Formats: sequence, structure tokens, C-alpha cells
Amino acid sequence: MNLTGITVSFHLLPQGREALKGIVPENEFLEGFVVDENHLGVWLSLPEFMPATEAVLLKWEHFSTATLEYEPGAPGERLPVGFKR
Amino acid sequence: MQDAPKFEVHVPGFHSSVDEARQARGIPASELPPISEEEHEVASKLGWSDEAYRRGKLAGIFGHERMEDRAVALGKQVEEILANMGQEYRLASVTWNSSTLTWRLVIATPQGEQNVVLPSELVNDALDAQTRRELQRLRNMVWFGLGRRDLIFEKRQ
Repeated sequence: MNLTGITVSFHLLPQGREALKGIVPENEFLEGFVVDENHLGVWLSLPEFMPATEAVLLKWEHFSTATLEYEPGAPGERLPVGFKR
Repeated sequence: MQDAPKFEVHVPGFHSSVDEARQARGIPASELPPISEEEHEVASKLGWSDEAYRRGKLAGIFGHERMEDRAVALGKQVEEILANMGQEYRLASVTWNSSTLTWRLVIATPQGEQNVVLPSELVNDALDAQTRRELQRLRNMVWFGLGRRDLIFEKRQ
């Protein structure tokens, strides 16, 4: 599942809490909007703690779980496939 | 016939998929596109026959048309997102970048034109699935790219 473009709550591991010390208050959970993801981890926008022009990297090895809202959606209407007489 | 888009579409280059190459192989030789003298020389240097080159060229044309269709579909989706933000937001252009596999949108805003860059993976997920979740991801990234982070969090409250 791709996380870019959604808000996710991460359960931080001790090393994650240590890495983010001074940026966010020490807490087991961190909620942020994922603006990008790559081999290093997820890049988060944190509206409560950082200006809109900044994003912070949360490394893959620094969290144990990620929780997000998931609402199954019916696919949108599509044009029928086939030939018309 | 569909209305012509109100935004510019830029898809530089010709890149074909395996399916498009297969499709081009099934076209009769008489219907293949012509090649210029320069293209004939390139084909010779590559050790290709003129027909093989013409099939490759046709596959590239199919690929180019597919990407242009994708650009228009993305643009229309983005226009819907912008319509809910007010009249001062308008999509000016959609450009494909094959080096970075990203789409660049130029959007007129009250603060002037802004670029929004979207990864092709995100765009493909939204256009192919057409589910609420994938379309919301696209919408959120457009809002974020325009500096309207407030809208993303406003919707969650």
C-alpha cells in the first residue's frame, strides 16, 4: 500500500523517538501527512510542529506500525467497453 | 467527440510499451508510417530493415498517444479538484517528464502560477482505480503542492 498523499499515525520505536527529539514532543505515536516515500523512509509534513514548507524524514526502521483510515470505495462509473452500432 | 481540454498538454518523446510493440507488429506493412532519409540512415546503422524501423516508429506513436490521453485524463481530474477551490485556480498545462517519471502541472493561483509535481505511480493509481481513496490521495497532493495544507487537515476534522 502506498502512503503518499494520506495522513498516517506511526507507532514510533525508541530509536525513532530519539531521532525526532527536539522536533516533536516525545510520544509513542506520531501523526503526519506523507508527502513522499523512498528507500530511506517516509517524508512527513507535520502541521502541528513544523512550517508548511518543511518535511521531516521518518526512517522505515524507526517505527513498528502505521495506522490509517481505510474506507473501501466503489470504483467510479466507467464507459462501457465494446462496439456501438 | 470529447471537448478539447482547456489546458496545454506536453508529452515529449516517443516511448512504447511491450503491448504497443506487439500491436505495431500486427499492422500491415502498407499501413506503417513513412520514414525520412535520416531515419533510413539510422535504421541502416542499427542494422534494421526499413520495415522494422517503421514498426518501431508506429509503436512509439501508439505510446505517445497513450501518454497524451493520460495527460488529458489527469488534467480533467485536476480541473475537478481546482473547481472546488474557486475560480482563481486554473490548470494551465500538464507535462510528462520521462526522465523522472513525473507529471508537472502548472496551475494559475491567486499568488501567480505554481508548479505541482506528481509521481506517475500516484497518478496511475488514481486514474486506473478511480476509487475514493486513490482520488483523495491525488487531491491531497495537489492541495499540498499548492501550499494549501490547511485543506487537507480541515477535511479530517
